Amino acid sequence: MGAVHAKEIKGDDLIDSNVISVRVNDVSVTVERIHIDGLGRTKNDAVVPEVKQIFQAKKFEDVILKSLEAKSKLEDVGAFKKIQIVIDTSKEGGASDGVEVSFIVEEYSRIGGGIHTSVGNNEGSVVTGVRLPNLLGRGEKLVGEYTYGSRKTQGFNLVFMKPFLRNPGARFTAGIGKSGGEWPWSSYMESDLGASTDLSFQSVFGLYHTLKWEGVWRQIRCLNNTASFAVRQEAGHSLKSALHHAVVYDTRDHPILPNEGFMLRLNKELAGIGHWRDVNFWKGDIEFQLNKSLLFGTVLQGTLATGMMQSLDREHGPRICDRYFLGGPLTLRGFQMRGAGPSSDGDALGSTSYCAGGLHLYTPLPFRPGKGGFGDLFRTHLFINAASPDPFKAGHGAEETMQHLAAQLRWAYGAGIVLCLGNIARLELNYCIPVAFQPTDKLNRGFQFGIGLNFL
Amino acid sequence: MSILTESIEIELGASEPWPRDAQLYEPLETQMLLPDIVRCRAVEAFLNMCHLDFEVVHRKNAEDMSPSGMVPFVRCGAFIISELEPIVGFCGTKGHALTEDLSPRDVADMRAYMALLENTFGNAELYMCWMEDTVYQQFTRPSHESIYPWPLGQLLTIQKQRHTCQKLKSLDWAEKSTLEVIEDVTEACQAISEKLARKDFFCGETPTELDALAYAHLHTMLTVKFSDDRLAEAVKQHENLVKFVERITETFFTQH
Repeated sequence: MGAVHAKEIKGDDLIDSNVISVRVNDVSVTVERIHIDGLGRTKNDAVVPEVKQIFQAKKFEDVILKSLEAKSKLEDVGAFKKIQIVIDTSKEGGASDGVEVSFIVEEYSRIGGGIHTSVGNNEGSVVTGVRLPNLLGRGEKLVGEYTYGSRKTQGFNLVFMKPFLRNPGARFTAGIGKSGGEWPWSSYMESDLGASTDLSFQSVFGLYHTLKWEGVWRQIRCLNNTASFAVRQEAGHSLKSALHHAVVYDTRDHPILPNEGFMLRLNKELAGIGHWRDVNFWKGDIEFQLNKSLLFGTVLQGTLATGMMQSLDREHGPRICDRYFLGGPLTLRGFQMRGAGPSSDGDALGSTSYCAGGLHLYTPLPFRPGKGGFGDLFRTHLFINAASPDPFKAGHGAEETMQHLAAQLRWAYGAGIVLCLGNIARLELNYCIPVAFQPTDKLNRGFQFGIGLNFL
Repeated sequence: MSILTESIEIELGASEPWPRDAQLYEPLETQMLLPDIVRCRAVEAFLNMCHLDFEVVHRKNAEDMSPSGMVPFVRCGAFIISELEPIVGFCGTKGHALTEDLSPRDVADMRAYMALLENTFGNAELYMCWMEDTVYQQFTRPSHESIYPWPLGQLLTIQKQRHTCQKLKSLDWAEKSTLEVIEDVTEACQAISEKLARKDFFCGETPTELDALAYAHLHTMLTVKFSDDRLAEAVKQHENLVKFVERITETFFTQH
């Protein structure tokens, strides 16, 4: 990464005899030239607008700040492995205070690859991939990956991504992929083959939007001959064409172990787009999380989530793979995966709506081992979490809904340790005590361990 | 599930009588191809011959629901049994068998004829549906594609055709010409016509599962209309077979 050897000097700092101090904010300069060295296949129009504003700098300090800003924009293009900035006096300029700014860049090689492991909701997988960065010279990227999961799931995906260089954070993605998974708690396996395209961008007030269309061929098969008949009826093929819109507002200081701030996420989905009415429903979810720092590094976190869906098909209710499932070590702790809610012969069937909430009190590890480093990835927490499947029924008024919600309520409390993994996933080991449950629920009393991306 | 637990479950199930709410799951009528029609008709005929109550349920995904991937299947209490032979076995454990009066020799004879029917008529039906081009284009493809939206219907049809062709290839049927297939059917008709002779049923005075299966094949070949009616012609050459079909329809399907 580049380095700039200059610093702002405030007031009358002590001056070493060998170093000449300059007040960078006082020195007037004229930027005469900007060089970008090392451009190969990257197009000029992808980099020129990013550095152009350096010309407007009138003071040396501005040159440095604007250069750093330009550097971070160039990094966002996703074309360069290394960017170095050199600022020098102009050799052949007219102005006596002329300077030249040079960006020495190193592009990514045309093809890259790798193998890594990834963690999804209760599944780890090995991912091998090939990457073609900066494919067309404007930060476009083509990524192909093959995944093999710990639950024997196999998949591939091929994704093309294009950033919109004039709009930071905005990008277009299109891809095809195959994935699969086993859901032993519901005695079925699902294999998906599909295409999707999405557009992400930031709008006013810092709202982050994702608009997505996906078309998926899904096949559901029973895992064994003892699968309940309710699950067996779901077996077969379906073709889903759906539009999703997600909007997120996030002021948290950390995605996994935040200290302050809140997050609001709204998801909407309409399936049955175009002439593909095979799977036809709408679905909406809301998730809200609020964090409050208390004394001695403790954090109070409250989470509420709710969602519902409605089939638009008279013959078919929402299919099992589209429904909501409650229970698991990171959502409704104290219950097994898909352990709470409607079931048939021990197979979880899922619900068409849900309400869930959680309250956590996080504290740093006792005696704070590894403070400022590894230890900061850990927290201990006390929690209460609750959920209720199918609270919203057609034709139910507010009172009936509340009654049903209360009657179906499951809740558990406990304590445990949370570990943040790579800022995207978390690992929890908890001791759980389920309090309210139904006879058909599958409980997990005592220690429960889980890894996942989503949590309540 | 292992074979052992499966057989234990069937043993346990034997103690319960045939339920009144037994259901026979079949694909939608518009979606059924010749081989499916035969399989469903055979099971229906067998259950009717045993005088067992059942309700036919049509489901688009019946084939995917079936534990063996074949239609039809019976849902009988907690049990789900697919295809004719396992269903015959299951009914046997509940005391509903059609072969009790037969000598072991006759039973072996009956099994041999059933195998003959499966190996000639069964394969011929598959061949006509999936490998005979005009039938495939005019009959099989449209009906198989119709149940799922584009492009899923097309993909599944190609998948199924490839699978069926592989199966026929392994049985040495893929190289046959349509004419040879019709000849095989004609020969098999000749053989079962001789076996039936002037009797009411193939084995003695009462119907057996062979009658159910033969009826299903013959009835389907006679009644299902598609561009190629050479299968029907092959059956019509034998008057006793045509009479047999009429008789079974009359006795076991009219009051139902």
